[in-house]
Amino acid sequence: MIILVISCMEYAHFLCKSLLVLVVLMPFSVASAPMHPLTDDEMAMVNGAGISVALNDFRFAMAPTSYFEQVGSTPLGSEACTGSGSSSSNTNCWRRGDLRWYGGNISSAIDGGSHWDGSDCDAGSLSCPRGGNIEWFSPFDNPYTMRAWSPKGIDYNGDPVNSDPSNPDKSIYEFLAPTQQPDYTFSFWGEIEAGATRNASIQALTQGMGTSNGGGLLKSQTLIRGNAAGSVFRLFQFTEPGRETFAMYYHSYLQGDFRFSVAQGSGGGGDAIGAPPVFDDSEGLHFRNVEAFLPLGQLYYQAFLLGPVGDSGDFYLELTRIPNQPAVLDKHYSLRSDDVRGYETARLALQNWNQPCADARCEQYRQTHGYVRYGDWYPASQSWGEPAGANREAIDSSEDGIFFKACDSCGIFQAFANRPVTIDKRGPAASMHKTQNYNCNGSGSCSVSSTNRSYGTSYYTIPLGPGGPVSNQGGNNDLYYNTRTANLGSSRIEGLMIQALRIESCQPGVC
Amino acid sequence: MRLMILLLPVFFLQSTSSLADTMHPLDDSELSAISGQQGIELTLRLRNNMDENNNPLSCSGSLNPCRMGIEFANYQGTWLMLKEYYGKIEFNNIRIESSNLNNSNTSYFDPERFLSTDGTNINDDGDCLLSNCNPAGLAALKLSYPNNKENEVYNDLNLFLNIGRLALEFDDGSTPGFMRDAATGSVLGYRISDSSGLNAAAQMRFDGDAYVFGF
Repeated sequence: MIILVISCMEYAHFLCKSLLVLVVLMPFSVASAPMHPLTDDEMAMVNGAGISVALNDFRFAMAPTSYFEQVGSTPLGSEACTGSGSSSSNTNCWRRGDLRWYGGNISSAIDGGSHWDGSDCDAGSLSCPRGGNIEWFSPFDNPYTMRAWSPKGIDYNGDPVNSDPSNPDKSIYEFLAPTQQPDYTFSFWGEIEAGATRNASIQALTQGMGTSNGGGLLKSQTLIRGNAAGSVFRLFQFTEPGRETFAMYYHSYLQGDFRFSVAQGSGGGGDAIGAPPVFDDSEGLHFRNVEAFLPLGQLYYQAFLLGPVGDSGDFYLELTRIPNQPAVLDKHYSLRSDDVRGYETARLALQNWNQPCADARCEQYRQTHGYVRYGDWYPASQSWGEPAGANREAIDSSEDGIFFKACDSCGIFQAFANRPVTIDKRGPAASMHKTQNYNCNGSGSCSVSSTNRSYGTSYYTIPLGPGGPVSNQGGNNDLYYNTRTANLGSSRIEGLMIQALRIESCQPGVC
Repeated sequence: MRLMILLLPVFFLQSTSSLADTMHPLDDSELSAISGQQGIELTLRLRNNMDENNNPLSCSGSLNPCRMGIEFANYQGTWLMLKEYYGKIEFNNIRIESSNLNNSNTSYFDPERFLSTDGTNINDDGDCLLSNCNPAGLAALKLSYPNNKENEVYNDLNLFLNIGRLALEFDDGSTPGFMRDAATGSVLGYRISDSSGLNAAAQMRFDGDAYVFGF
């Protein structure tokens, strides 16, 4: 006899009118290895420190018609739009917004491949939303792991926590992603619906549609090919005096390619609500070769908390501010011993971004300072050069960096090519204050020098050769580029640190 | 406050040659053939505040009984309320077997993942949670969904969830917050469903094998 027991979380209260459970336990005859008792040696290896889940040849797929939905609220009287088109009754007003995410998918970025309607595509490209199985999504020798333990840290006042491992003060629960895993495809398609009037609990999607009420429906696709190796999610108790409540932190590592698109190709359900479309192979906003690390919280002094806003039912989600305590600030900012203002620490961290740390201070700095890097090019500057093998993206490159791309059957569009190539704000002379343009003449020709930027001993730019910037005026909108792909180049945010973040909910008419 | 839900299982022991519509006693030979050592398959279906036709049970109107409240430490008396809360979940034919992890490592092997909390040396078993900081060959529980694997079939996990309103409620005298509906508005509503029909369950599939092991 087996009794399954579900223990609801502490402080949870259910009011359930009915509960029906059917459990079928069925021995089968085609099993491979019979169950056997663990030996003493095997038992001795298990001490309850954690549990791991290895996933071999793994794929997760929701049906393309299945969705997660955030149901909007109808705006109150005078705030609500009542008309449509270019009319005063359709400006400065609100409509209910419903969001749906369909067909969540985690699959191979190499093998197999299909569109949302089931038709074939190449899983090895950003054109294909779904792939086959991932051989080592969670490798058994580097798996997703859940464990409880008592790591050392400092509290909100800067005092040490768990300084005595044999007599710890606090325990945490953590979820760890593999430190290495193969790239995979994570994708979904979605609907943004404005102006719906349906009661989602009692009416199907085809009733009370926004398109029937002056609103609209936009379908989109989000496609990521990469992985989240190294990410950590932790649950613990916050340590701010008077606020010792349930706390969370998330250190997010993401690397790979990202594509967001809306143009549809042939086949699929078109614009019918709830029907999976087939998206164009290449249209959209792309981010290639992305690396991002966002440290959202720190043991035990900064965390995500939930709490009430007023007494009308709203609540907040807050990443608490870094406490103004010397011991916390010392650890969090991790300044070099020869630095008091932070500039030199940041400069050298930037210079050595791709070098291993030489000391514990550097390791700590990299736990509290994140980055977002789009594209693999990186500007040279004093004392360091461009990354080996990385090149500045061509203006119409689809291989790297950030770019917009037209749909396969679309013609050219006019990209305004007034992006600055070099801005030097350090020099006092006018010649160092240039905001310079690509030489695009509007007729479709636009040549850009591939000469790398270089710096002279006085740190101003050496002029580029023919085809590079031709004027030192401000952006000129008459200079545009006829293209089907507009590449914005690489972008890097370094030393990213969130001091505080607070998101408050707002019911219509309450705030 | 703590609530324990006991799920009373019903067992259907089934021969490999036929599916019986009604339960019947097993004879001695059938019983003797069942050791459980070769693994089990499990199907679990749970409905909460819904009938068998996917209709919510009296889940409308103020202070209707279809709700769940969550209270966090240090915020006693403040309840995060999920209102018009109903749904169902189905796990279809999870196969559970005993198995062993691969004997040879993958190219992703990271022995530091298996260091103990204070361990620093992957070559010192005293610092490792597992021998040699390496789980290769370890005994593990193997889970899989071997059925419903035809192309474009999604029937391993079916899930429907409706949260009509989400808002905070506060204790008022002797009335706990989870028994109040003072916040008549909603921060947001949330649903997990399928576009094939009203209150249809979202359909999902899992391919491959999961190996669960501890240390």
